[in-house]
Amino acid sequence: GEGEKTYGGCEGSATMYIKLVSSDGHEFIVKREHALTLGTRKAMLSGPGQLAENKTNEGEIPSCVLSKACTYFTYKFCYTNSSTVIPEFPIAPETALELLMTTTFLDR
Amino acid sequence: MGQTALAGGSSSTPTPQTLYPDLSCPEGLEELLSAPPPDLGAQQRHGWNPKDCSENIEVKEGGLCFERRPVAQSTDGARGKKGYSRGLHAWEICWPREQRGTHAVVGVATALAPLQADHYAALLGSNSESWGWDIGRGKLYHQSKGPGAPQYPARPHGEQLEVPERLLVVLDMEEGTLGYAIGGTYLGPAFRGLKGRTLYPAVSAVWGQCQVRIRYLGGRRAEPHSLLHLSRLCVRHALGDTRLGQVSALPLPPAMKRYLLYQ
Repeated sequence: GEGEKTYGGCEGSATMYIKLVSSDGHEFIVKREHALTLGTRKAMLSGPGQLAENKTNEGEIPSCVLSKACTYFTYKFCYTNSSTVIPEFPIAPETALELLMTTTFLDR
Repeated sequence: MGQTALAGGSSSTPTPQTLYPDLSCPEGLEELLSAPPPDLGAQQRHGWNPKDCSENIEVKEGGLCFERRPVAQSTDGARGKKGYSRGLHAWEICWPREQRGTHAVVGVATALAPLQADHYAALLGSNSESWGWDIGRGKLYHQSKGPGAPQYPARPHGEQLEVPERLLVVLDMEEGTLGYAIGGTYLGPAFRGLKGRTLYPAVSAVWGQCQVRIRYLGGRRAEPHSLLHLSRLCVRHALGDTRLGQVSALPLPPAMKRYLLYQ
């Protein structure tokens, strides 16, 4: 509705938001536009086989990694083609290792 | 203040640093070098500045080249027209080997670095406003008069690389590093800690009638690093220089271990 801020749901291919689900059942709702700027988000986040349009079951991705990836989407979107100083993107070492283990297809 | 990144090459036992040299090529360098090069006009706009050089230097071809007049007991330098404070930049210096003499130094300088001295010296890098690689001796200078200067690139047995006529200078103002490349191979960061300044391409020369050419190869604006690269930096930092050899023990696929080691 007009007066209320809603996110309009994640069903269908034209939604502004999509939902990513981690292996331990956490759901992350991110802007489609931010996530797809990575190009191969689907390759990055999907387990082999399953790929529903908006609700991707990230079979192998634990929430500690997926939450970091979602934060990264916004960081990347925000600071690409921007003249502001790009701040550091903090990653804890154990999360970094998990990221390297699970995102072998990440678009560089 | 800029600091030299590499340990001196005088010890005979290889240090962990030389076993796993820090060849962390600036992200985006490959892309920059494989993109179509800037046209002549752009090269001239990023070329030597006829208004910002020693009086013994004559800038020619709109900035693409300079010639040093044969003045005795003088070291003379030139700065580029454009200074860089953000992004990744690369330029090629073409300096014929027989025109280098006793002191040929290639690097960068702030607007404040002196460009002339009344004796033969490695002028570039002798103060706090400039950083240079002595392409005859292979040494790195910053706030240095010569003695004790580290070798670049660091070699296990201290042997020196012969620097050919053409070399690339790679300035990464996002990471704050200055490095060089020869024959398509990046030699590693030579200097660090350069962020927050505006740095100009610079050289200092002593050889009479030497002709030094500069060819700007392009700049790349700062982009956020890929998540993979950020993770790599984090893991490498957590391991530290001395434990990079233990990458092989990490629970990663082989391709990812190679990625961690920049292989």
